[in-house]
Amino acid sequence: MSIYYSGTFKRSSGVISAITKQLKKVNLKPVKKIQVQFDPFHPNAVTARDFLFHITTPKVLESNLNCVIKPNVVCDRSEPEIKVDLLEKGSVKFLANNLTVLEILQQFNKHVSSLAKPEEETPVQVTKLEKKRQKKR
Amino acid sequence: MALAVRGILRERFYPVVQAKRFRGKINIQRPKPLHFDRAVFTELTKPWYLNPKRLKTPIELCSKPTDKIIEDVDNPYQKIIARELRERFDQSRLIAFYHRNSMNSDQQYKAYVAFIKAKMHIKTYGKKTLEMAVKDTKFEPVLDFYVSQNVMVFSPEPDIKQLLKVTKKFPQMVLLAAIFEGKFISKDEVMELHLIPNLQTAQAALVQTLNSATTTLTQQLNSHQNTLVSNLQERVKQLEEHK
Repeated sequence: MSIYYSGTFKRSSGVISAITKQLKKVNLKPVKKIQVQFDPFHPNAVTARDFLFHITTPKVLESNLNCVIKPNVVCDRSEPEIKVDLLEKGSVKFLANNLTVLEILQQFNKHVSSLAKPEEETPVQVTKLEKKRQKKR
Repeated sequence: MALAVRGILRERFYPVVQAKRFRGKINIQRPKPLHFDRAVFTELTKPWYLNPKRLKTPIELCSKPTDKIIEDVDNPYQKIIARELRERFDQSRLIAFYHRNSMNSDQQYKAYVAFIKAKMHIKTYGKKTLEMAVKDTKFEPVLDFYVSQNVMVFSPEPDIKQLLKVTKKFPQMVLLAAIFEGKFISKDEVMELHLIPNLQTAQAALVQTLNSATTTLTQQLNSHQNTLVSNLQERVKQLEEHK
């Protein structure tokens, strides 16, 4: 009789929801150290500072507790940059001068988070009692 | 006249009541076609209005109206807070600016307590309030790096060592810059100032360097006598041991 609801149930809140979506995908397992370098008086230091804030949220840090995130404040008006040292050989450097936070996170997910090996799901042993309870439900 | 009034009151007026509808739904969807005259009358007396958009140019129609943009209403409480902030800026001899990463409220409280113990006040203000407080003053450059998450620490005494000591315990707070005795200093300069000892030791060091020439001269003049004295003392010790 009535038409089914079409469209989204939730509304997106703009850039922040895109950033949160990327942050959920971020996996710091293949990372040994992240060094965020910026000069506070540089006009484009916002992105580096925002990136530093997002990456130090507890949920992101949980993915790898051994990863060290080091903020480096410099005073020579150099451009902001983010250096990511990987566990395996190599490092990724983001020149944050003309990038937005969203772009940095997208590229981070593309190059760094993708290197993380997917977790193997251990087969859960179901006892007889639990099976009975599940059947009852 | 009074009698006429009473006469009206005496006569009762009983209206004739004729029921039009009894229960049932009213008909809106399929109205009966009207009598021609009535139809003509209703059609002619229907209201019509001129389109308000008819004489407007495309640019007027397509651009956004500026008078609909609501400007920020004057907020007296914000002005009070801004004034208080300005007083803090003028009175504190050391002001430190930090970038704040995400912290638990437990951690935030611990930081607050640690700074209070060092007689410093940790404060967070919004950019708008800061703008109100600091615009057209010598502290205006603060607004340049007041982006993202920020925290300010005000100290009445210019004690950099204490400040850095407390900051070390909280790695989520990243020192950006400071104002020392009314002058802006960058982070490197803060580190340099931290290494400078206090006034007394600096004065002692200065006195030492000034006297260094005379002390070396006296040392060299007295060197022979001193060696003689030390040798004699050793000989005395040897003799005592032999006894």
